[in-house]
Amino acid sequence: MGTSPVVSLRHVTKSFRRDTLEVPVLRGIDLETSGGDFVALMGPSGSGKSTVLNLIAGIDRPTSGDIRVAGSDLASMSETDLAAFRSRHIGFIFQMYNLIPVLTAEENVALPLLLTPLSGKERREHVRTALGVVGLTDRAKHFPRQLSGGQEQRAAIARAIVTDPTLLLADEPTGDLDATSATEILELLRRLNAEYGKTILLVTHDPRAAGYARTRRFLDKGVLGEMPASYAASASR
Amino acid sequence: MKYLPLILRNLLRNKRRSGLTAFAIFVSTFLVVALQTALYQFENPPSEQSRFRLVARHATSLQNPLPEAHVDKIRNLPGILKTTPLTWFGAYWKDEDNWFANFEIESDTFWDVFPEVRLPEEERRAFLADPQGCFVGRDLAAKFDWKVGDRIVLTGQIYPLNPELNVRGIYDGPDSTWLLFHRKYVEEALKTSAGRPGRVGTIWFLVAGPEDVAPVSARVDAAFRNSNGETKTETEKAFQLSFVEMMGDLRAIVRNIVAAVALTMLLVAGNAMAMAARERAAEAAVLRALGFPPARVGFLFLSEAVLVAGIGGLLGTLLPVLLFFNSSPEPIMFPTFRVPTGIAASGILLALLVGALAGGLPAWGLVRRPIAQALRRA
Repeated sequence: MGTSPVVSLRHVTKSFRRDTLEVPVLRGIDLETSGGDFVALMGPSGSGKSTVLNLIAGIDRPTSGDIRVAGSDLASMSETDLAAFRSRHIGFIFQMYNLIPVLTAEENVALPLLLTPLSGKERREHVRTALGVVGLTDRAKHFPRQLSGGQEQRAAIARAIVTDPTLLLADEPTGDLDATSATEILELLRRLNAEYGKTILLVTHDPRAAGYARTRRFLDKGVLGEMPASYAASASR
Repeated sequence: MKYLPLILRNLLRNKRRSGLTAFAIFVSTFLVVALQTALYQFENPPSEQSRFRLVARHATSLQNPLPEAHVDKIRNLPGILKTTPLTWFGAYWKDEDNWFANFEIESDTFWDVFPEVRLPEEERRAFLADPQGCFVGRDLAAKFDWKVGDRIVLTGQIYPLNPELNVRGIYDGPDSTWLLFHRKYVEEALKTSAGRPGRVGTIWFLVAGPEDVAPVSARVDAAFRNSNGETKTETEKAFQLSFVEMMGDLRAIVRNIVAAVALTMLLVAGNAMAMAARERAAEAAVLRALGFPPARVGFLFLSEAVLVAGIGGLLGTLLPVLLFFNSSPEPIMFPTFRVPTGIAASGILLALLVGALAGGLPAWGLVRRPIAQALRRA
């Protein structure tokens, strides 16, 4: 497990404009994550958690501040460069899974590999491995509508890890799941971190989910701060 | 190629919409190709001779006949190789719906100017020997089941004469839908009718080459200027078009219809693709979040539109090509109706262009929309 910073945010602010109003979402946050870490970013709804994740993934741009991820300065990159950066370094896990409904599980998992120079045979091997890691080999030919919520999320995780990215970003990955499925997903994330050394940044408002992470940070009203005692108690396991 | 399965799956996710869009483009392309082919057939009569064959008609109107004496005068003008009069008789057989082209010809000179009308020698001799003889095109004979030896009675619509004719031959040629009979027979029968004897409808003649077309035309028209039978001389191609354009400016009509059909096609396809783009905005954002460059996402969506339009356009072009390969939708008006390669290609290109335009704007919208915003609305 390495210790070099994979994510480095310095004095990052982000505001949204609503009509003539400037609404600040992030108010100068600093965040550093080392390789192999498993960080849970907690906070209530509207605190700016997902915005942080989007900024790290390069799918949104900060109003000010510096963002470096996997050695790249995201502020200076074009949309096309950012896309290439994401395909190389970022695995994204969404709350609503966001699988393509017309593709089977294995075809969904193969999507990020279409951007690589791998041959069809190599792509199939990578997909088989990723589905094996998440325990979904027997559902490879199923369409998303034929899978349970937990299985869909596992397929989405397989899609996120199939290119072996530097960083996994999970945005409320258990938010739409029942307790049993949520536990399976969180166990899977922990295994990915512990056994495969994946660096994971998990955004959640659920203290129980945050309890699976090694490091927990709390975001409230756009400011990173100390974890409130009520959250800390729930998150400790 | 590795994106083809994804494009096809997306295309088939709403089969009814994709099918209806392709069908709309298919129908539109069929119309465009058929109309353009009709215009092409008018502008390019199916005869090699037509390039050097000119026709003189009355300058005022095609309905006004010319003095028969013009035939010899034209025949003797320099630059003219062969001359023959051709007069529209305007009759039908049994029923007004049985309308077809029937002409009086000068039997001695007809083949000098229309060598492409091929009649077996034996039948030709039989025709020449029979004052009431006629010969008909193979397509026309097939349509009315006429055979050599049949006696047919036509009903005249212009002159007070119902010709009683003997079918003496069946001819082949680029346009085998005419019935031709002796001018002498009509002249004899109508010798007491006012305004008819000594008149011809049109005078056709050959010139040596394309360079002679303009000076000879001018010479003929100049020869009859200020007479009671002023002429307007034009190429066979222009004549055929002007014949049809008595109904209106055919070119403009066809082009306006083609433009309207193309616009309709664009609106139908554009609407379908706009709906698809709206439904798939979140998926496009997911692809971009996975690392697909904006151009690739746009290309995938655009490919769907072009593929749907291409399928519709290909079928809409192939149908008239196959349907009219050996037959014409209206043999009397269009002896042949083969779709020229250029028009077939333009039909497919138009459909592809419609697909690109219909898919282009929604695709541009998909890749311009901020990823985070589109994901929030997923």
